[in-house]
Amino acid sequence: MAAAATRSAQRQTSWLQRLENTLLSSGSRPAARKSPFEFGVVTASQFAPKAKFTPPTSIGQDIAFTIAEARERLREFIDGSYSPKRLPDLLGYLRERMLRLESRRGRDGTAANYLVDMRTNVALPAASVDLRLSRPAIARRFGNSIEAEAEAARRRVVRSPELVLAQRLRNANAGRFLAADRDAQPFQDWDDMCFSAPAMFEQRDIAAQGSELWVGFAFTVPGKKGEPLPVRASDDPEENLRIMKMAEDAGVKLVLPARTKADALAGRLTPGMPVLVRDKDAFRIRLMDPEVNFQRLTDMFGVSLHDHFDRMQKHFAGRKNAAPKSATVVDIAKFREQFGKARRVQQRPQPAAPVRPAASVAGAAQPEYIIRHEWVDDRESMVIVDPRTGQTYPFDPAVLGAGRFPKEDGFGLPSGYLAVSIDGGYTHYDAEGREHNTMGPAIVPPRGSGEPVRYAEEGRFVQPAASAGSRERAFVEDFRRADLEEAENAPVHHYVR
Amino acid sequence: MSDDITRMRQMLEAAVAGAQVRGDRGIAYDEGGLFFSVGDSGIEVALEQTSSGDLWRVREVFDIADTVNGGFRTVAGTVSVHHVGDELAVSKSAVMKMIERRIDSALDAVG
Repeated sequence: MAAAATRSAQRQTSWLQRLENTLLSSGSRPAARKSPFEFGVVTASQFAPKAKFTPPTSIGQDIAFTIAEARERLREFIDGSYSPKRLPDLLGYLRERMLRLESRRGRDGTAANYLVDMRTNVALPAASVDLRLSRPAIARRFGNSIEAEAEAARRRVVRSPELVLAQRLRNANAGRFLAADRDAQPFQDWDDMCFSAPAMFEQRDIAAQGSELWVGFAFTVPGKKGEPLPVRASDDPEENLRIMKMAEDAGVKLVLPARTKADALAGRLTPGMPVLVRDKDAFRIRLMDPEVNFQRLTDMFGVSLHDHFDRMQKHFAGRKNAAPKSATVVDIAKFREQFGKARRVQQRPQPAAPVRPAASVAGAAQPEYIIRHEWVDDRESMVIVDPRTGQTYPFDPAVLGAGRFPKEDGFGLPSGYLAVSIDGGYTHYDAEGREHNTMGPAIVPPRGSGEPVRYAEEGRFVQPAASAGSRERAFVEDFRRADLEEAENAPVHHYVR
Repeated sequence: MSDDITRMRQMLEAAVAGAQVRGDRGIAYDEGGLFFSVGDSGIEVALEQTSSGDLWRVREVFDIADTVNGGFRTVAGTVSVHHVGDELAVSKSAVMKMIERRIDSALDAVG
């Protein structure tokens, strides 16, 4: 607001200045005009402030940050009276003077240091201010580059176990959380979310404590035969308080599914919702994806998780009361014997091909399978992996069906995802949702469509090389060369592991 | 609109060829994102539809070594903005920026 007011005042001043100069300048006024006020509408329009279109070239050029000013700010460094011993000292010195030394790397391999004014964000080539700020000079002087400093910072950044767990599970569910369509919702409703939770989060459940959604293992109590029974909140506060006391005695922290802290302390929990253990295996779901949080999901589904469980509880209670009691008493043992046998008979050996996953709705794909995508014997290889059994199947989009499937590389690391269309075509995406495949075509149209395949890297469509093999070999060679150069250039003492 | 895009592609190809820049993979157009990529340079020309008319935005995309949070972060900055119809100035601006970055890189390496 202040900046806008300043700009307005400056514009006003410059207009008045222009008007004054023009009035006083005899050269700009027709000789016949005696009085400065003898001008007409046409002349007046010339003095009016003109709306200026965005500068067509080099935005920011008119902002005063010049080499001279940069040198003035770095006077001590330039004249040698300040001599930093370490690169972080120099970066701190620059920061005090509202300057930032940036090492910029272009996608075509170009790299240079730039000096950026932190107030205007205008960048100047650092070498033009002082040659001692260029990349090689910095490396010679301090023994490491800004890139190496960034790498060291990356290692220093402490990541909490909770965040690490959330990120790991996020990657494992890339098909759901990293959908290409940013507006697509990862879940359809609370039922979908709660039902999917054990499969997605390695047997963990979901519960809401206040307005925080937690994922974790259910708190268990020993059953009659000593088997662990997962605890769900009861509508009886006394029962809930008993469970809470039991956990407290065992030194276990709980995620209490209550609307408020006061409710939780009084044992008024949301009936039916799992009671989770709050330990190193639990995490807040918003750490997995900021978009997936309690408030957003509540807005999306039109009801909070607490209300959802309340509704289910009322529904069950209603059914229990309304259901007529049957005259026929079912013997549980007989029932199990009959249907248990039937189920055993129905068991079949594993099918040769994977079962088609449930039909996916946009943005709600169920990543039942993972695509292993790697470079084997000088060619692109794709197989379908069943993460539950580890079994692999030959890749066939017709068998997979439409949906998004997370990809992993030969080392089992996430490498984006594959979107299969309903007609059998498929597209490779990287983790950021861009079309990407270095081993072959990124977009493969359906068989028989006659459409050509398309190659893309990081979302940019490229001309197809003579063969995918040569592309991959070139990629591997580039990678090796870059690795070698980095190893040669980097000082050994910096890369302490 | 398609005429503008065709003209833009022609202009960019001519500008790159005129600058005799080698080692590039030509001009690629992303239909989804409505932008041209000028070779591998990270210079992009994006078509933007605004209430005041269609614009060409020349932007540069590069990675910055992040000494605070670690690693590299990708940054996109605007080089210039032009009205649709001024494709000549757009292509000139994009290729000039690409060459400028190469020169910056080469001069930086001298130090």
